[in-house]
Amino acid sequence: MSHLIFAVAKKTKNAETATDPNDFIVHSDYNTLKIIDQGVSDISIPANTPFTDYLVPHGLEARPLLKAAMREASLPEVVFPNNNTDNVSAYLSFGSLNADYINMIFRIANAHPTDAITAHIGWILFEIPL
Amino acid sequence: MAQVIKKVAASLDDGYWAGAWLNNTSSLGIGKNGLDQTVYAAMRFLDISVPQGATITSAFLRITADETKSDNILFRIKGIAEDNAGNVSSDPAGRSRTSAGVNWQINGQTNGTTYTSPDIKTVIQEIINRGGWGSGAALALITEDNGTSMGAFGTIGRFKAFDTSSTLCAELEINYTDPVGQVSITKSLQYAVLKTPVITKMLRYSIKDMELNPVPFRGVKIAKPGHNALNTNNPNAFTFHSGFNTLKYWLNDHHTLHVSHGIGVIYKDVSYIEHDLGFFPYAEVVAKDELMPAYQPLGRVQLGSGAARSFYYYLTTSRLYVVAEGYTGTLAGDDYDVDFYYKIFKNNMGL
Repeated sequence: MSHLIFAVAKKTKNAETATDPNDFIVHSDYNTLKIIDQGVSDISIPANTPFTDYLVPHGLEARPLLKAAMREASLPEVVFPNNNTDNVSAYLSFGSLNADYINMIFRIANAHPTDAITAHIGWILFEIPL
Repeated sequence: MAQVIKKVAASLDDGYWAGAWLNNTSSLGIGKNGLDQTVYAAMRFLDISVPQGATITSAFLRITADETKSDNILFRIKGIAEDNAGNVSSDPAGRSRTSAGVNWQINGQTNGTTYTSPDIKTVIQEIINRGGWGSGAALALITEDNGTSMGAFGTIGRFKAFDTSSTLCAELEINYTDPVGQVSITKSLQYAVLKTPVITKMLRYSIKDMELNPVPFRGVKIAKPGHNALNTNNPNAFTFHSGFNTLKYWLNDHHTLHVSHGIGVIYKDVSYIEHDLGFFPYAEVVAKDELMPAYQPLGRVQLGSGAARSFYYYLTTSRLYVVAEGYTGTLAGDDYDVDFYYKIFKNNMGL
């Protein structure tokens, strides 16, 4: 490799000879997915609500890569979108996850016939491509 | 350990109050006048190159007598509580002061003799700890009544001002140690330079960056080709930037769930992987059964004859659960393996 690099190899690997990206903890030739913001949003989903988009502003004015997980209040499990989560959660379903230039968009349904239920959404926003 | 020694460097950077604020005088008065009024002085020191968060191990103010007098003066030294202190061209009495203060008593003064204060590190530390402080900023001190007595009426000491002597005017000495993180990172990089000469140039650049910009950034950043690590803030311009968290692998493996049921059975088979993190981590899981050509994100797999399979996952604070769920249909039973490929990241989702 002719250009200069910064590389930190995993234990038992040699940073000067290894070529597999998986042998490195950090390698300046490979980008790392940097987290630019992280948080939890609590959203109250009204009773008997079909899949509906709930918007949470991210303030980035760009479309970020977004990951999220949901925990229904009072339940000990965390579920992920697009994942048949209605089979786990008692009432809430986490249908999909998206983001536009303004908002994070969580699509959630509540099957409870009479009670609103709070969805705790843990989210991670990643760097925005140049 | 590092040291900064600075003298007052301009006429408007020292002065004292004696009925009115005076800048262009030969001396600075400190004490009490015949009207029992406090005579106080202030002085500003430029370019204090102490990084924010540094630990002040000791600090001293030195003033040199401009007259020989027998007056015993008692006073207190405080800092002017500003991120980058302005000059003292006007009376600084109304400017905010540090809560820390140090009493100083000088019993008599001999012209030309320099007097060193008690350790005023608490005063300096309070200013260095300010959120807006930056290395290279200006720092100002002010004297005041010590809260009990500033000596008898008319006991005033006189000390050389900048307008009398640019070499014997007030001097500030600060001894400090660097913020811990910066030092440890710098040292580890220097060690790496010694051990791995191949990457020396880039590491030296990082060290230089940290030395030149000790306050705005402490850590390691490596820019992508075409970007300058010193003048860009976009995280996407860096292949690595220690100021941003990343997803961190904790567990990364395959887990097979065997499913076997007869005709016409609705089933839900569950298995789990222990992670024991004690919080809800982030996770990614893909799956593949014998019908799928490749691993794919989880979801519903619709088969023929009304049969269906669903694969999904969920987390608790100690386990990652994987599930195979379905209906075998009316024509035949099901006997297959699902291979779940999972990555659990040691990132707390805060849930």
